[in-house]
Amino acid sequence: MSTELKQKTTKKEGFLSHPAVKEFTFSAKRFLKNPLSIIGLTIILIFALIAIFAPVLAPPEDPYDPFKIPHDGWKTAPSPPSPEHPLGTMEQQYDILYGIIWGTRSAFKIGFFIVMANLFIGIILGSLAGYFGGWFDEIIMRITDMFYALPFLVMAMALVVAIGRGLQSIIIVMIILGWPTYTRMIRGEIMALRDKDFILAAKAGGAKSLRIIIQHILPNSIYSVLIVASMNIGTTVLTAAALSFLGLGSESGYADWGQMVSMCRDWIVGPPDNRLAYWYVVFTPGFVIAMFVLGWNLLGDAARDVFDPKMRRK
Amino acid sequence: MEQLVKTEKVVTNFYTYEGVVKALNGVSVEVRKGETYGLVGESGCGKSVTVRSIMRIVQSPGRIEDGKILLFFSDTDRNQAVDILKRSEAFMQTIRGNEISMIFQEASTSLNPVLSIEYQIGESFRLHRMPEILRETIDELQANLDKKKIPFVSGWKKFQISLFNRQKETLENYERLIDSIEFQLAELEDDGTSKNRRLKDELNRKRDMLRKDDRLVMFFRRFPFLRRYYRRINPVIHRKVVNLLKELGVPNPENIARSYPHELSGGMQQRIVIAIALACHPRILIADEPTSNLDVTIQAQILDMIRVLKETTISSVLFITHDLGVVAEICDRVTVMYAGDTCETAEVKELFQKPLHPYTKALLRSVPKVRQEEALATIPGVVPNLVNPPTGCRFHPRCESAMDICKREKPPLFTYAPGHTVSCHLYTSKEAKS
Amino acid sequence: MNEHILDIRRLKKYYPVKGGVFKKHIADVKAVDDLDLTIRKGECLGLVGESGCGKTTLGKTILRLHEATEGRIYYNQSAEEVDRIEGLLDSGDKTKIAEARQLLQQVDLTKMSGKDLLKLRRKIQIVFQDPSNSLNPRMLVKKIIAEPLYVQGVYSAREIEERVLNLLNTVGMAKEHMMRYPHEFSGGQRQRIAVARALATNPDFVLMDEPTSALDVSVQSQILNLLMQLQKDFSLTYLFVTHHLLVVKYISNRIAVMYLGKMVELGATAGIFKNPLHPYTKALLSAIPIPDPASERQRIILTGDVPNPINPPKGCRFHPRCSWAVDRCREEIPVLEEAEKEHFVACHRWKEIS
Repeated sequence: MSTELKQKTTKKEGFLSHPAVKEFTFSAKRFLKNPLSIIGLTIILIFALIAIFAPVLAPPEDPYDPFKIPHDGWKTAPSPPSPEHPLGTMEQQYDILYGIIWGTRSAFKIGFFIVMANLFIGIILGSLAGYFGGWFDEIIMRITDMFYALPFLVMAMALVVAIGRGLQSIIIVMIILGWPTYTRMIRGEIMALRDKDFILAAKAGGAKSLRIIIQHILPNSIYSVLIVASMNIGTTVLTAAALSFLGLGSESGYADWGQMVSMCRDWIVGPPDNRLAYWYVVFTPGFVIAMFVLGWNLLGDAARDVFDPKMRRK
Repeated sequence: MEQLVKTEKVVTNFYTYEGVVKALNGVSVEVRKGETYGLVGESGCGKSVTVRSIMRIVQSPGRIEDGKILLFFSDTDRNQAVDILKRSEAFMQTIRGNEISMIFQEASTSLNPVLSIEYQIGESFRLHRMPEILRETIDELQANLDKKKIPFVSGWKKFQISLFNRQKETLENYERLIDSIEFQLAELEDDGTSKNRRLKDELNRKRDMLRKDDRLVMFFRRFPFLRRYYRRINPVIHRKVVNLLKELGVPNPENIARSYPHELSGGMQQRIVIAIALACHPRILIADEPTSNLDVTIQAQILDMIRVLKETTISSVLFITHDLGVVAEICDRVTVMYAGDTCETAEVKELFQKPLHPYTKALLRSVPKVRQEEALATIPGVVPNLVNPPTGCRFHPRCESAMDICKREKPPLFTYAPGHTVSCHLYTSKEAKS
Repeated sequence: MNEHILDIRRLKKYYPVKGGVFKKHIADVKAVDDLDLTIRKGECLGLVGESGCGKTTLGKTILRLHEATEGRIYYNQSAEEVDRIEGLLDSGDKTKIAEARQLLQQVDLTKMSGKDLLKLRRKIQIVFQDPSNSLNPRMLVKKIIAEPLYVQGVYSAREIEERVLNLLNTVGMAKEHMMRYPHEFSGGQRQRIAVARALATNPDFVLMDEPTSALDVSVQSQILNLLMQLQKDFSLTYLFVTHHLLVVKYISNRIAVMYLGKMVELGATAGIFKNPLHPYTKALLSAIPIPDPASERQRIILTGDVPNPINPPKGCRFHPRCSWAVDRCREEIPVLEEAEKEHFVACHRWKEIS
């Protein structure tokens, strides 16, 4: 007995000694040891800083409508980078740099909004379906099956057209179409946990279903879902950009990367004598979208390696 | 009695994320011919790692670092040993399943769920006893041929016989060549000169190059229609499988042979696993907790079966368990292990009547007996983490008679009586005697 | 001593087997079938049997982790009261049965709900087999032990903290263990934590569901001794479910032997070990590996396996494996009868066999 109790006890005072904090710092240290996660983190941090300091980096002409990209005249052909427009301009002389900077805000908005809403719906429906089972589970699962059977992009296009074009409609439609993935994932995680002994122990202690779900099931299942969600922020932005590119996004001149690529559709290929004359109009927004997606993917990958209990302490 | 398998100071480490787990700390055990030898200990004491080292199937972060594992498998010279740690992987493949068979705790995971029982046992025959099967097939065909003589058909049959004969001869030839190379390798073993090493490498390479199959036979077996002749061996294998199951006391062997693993109960699955292990008459059967997941009545059936088999079929059994009751039931000699060390080795009766090592004593006192009157004794503390094992004797932090020397030095092996050895400073150091 | 804490009457627990496209009910797994058992206050009743005999199901039904299909479990009622209600139920008179049902709402723990159930949960607790599964890996030890107290909602935060500390001390652990996660402990320590959680609400009755079979030998004895000490200190009643007969012999006063959902023998520990009456008990006892190579004894080796509980054999469920079976055993289900004082057996031929 006595030796059993004589395990090392390091006493640090205050907040840092709380085991939850220790766990977190342990994970964070491992997270920061991985070069890929540092690259991902840097990319996302840069984007975040751009989004936060957008009004400083590119002061809007109209403070009430900062997402409107300013333009110098109505000349149709894009013009190459110049001291006035460091990244050049698009059709009708919209400033690319301004569009990129304020587009970062749009991207974060799209990504977070859609993923958060999906997660929210997914956690609620998935927990109920997974924990209680029965007819509720049956109905929810058949609905998700229906969603899986429909081609995503086609459905999204049809719905956006039905609601009316615009960035907001894209967000709404992607929420409507996106929740089944999360619901399924959370339901699966919960089903695996539902009959574990510690859940039974909580029941035997008199805990109610809600308490069991919140205290016991979600903390043990949510991490893998959160990691997938963080990876999905990137791809969601990509899909939204695709819809914008198809002409379903906001009106031209709105600072959104997808919308910018869409505006430049006619200028992807230059005149016959110089095919690459307007490279900057597609390359810049395209490159930014790619970096954004890459950043979230790297972050999610690294987080999975660190937080996944199966990979841990081996 | 003659020795069969012997390990000398084997050290096995596992290189994990947390550090080097020193799983075996110089383990020496010896299995003799004709005995059931037990390895007992709590989880993490290294009993499974020991037998995995003997089979050389230690999983990937693990490595056998040091020591000798000697097999005395030569029929002519009983003292001729082969150190398997110095041999090629190809050599180990001929040993595993053939000379040493192993069964595991979870029978259900050792069986392939999509293959029938007959196929799985037959596979073992096919791998290890092909010449015998071929001989019987030829005999059968010959008998068939002698009975009825239809001109054209008997010509085809004769051709079949010649094919089987070719295959058998190649196989026998192959085995003979392997044996001779083995012999030469054994001769070379001792000195480490560069010339010898070169010769050894050459022999090993030659060995790996040997062909097991005849070209003509291979040719016939590749052709869709001609290949059918080969089905002749199936009834022979079926007969052998059913016979083996019958020998093992499996009720209704024909039905069992046709079924699939999931249709059988845990006890029956374990019996099938044993059948597969026995299909090739191993010299030694290693049983890694074969009954720990079974109910007592089924456990009694399996133990009884192993006991009967030991008398009739297999010569030696190496039995791993944590249950002292099972040890008392089935083993002749026992080694008690603790945290990668061997504590004590003795005849089973001697060990239970006169335990010497403090750990053995404590262990025996802490299991409930049939006539248990007083409270159970306990061993204080927990099994140490083997990343940072205790210095000296690994048991000293939990030992009630620990001395200063125990913290410093690993106790040497001490022969207390013939056949009864113990590693404890209580019996060797001056400190204890004074 | 002779007061009953639990009185189980004609308990049935069937698990439906569903199949086909429409999930039609095809058959039942008769895990517990028509079982009577009384558990006395302050005793440790050992429940033994092979896997699939329904011993775990019985335990979980008592705890209301699974709902009983049929039958009654009286909690803390005198024998007279139980007999009276049973009498009313058996009377066949509609008004009397209705009256009995009314009474059952209060005393039958399979019918309790809401507040009553929550109160009951305080008094009936469980310790699971494998402590690495029964402790939430993402909760601190402190929270794990405190959970049943929180749930009851009648203790203040201060009281809970004190109580947790107390409990940890009772099971032989210290204050510094409070702020750790379960994975930082060894198997034995984890089981101590699980025991502390079970004791948190001051229960009368604790179900021990194979509490030592996942542990090492040397740790097993620590836990067994701890459990015995706690039983004495807190005057607990245990139902000790296990397949390890020597452990049961060590810890329990009485033993109940189950086979395929039925009780086959029930009696004082010493009596059963000295003079087992049912052929199954005999075989079970003779099959125990005894840690003493000098002991010589006659082994009875059963042939075959436990039959499928979906389709149990007719008559005595043990007859296909029993070497004494006669025609009567194949037809008629034996009932539990008192063979000796306080020693019950369900076998047609126990007199001839023994």
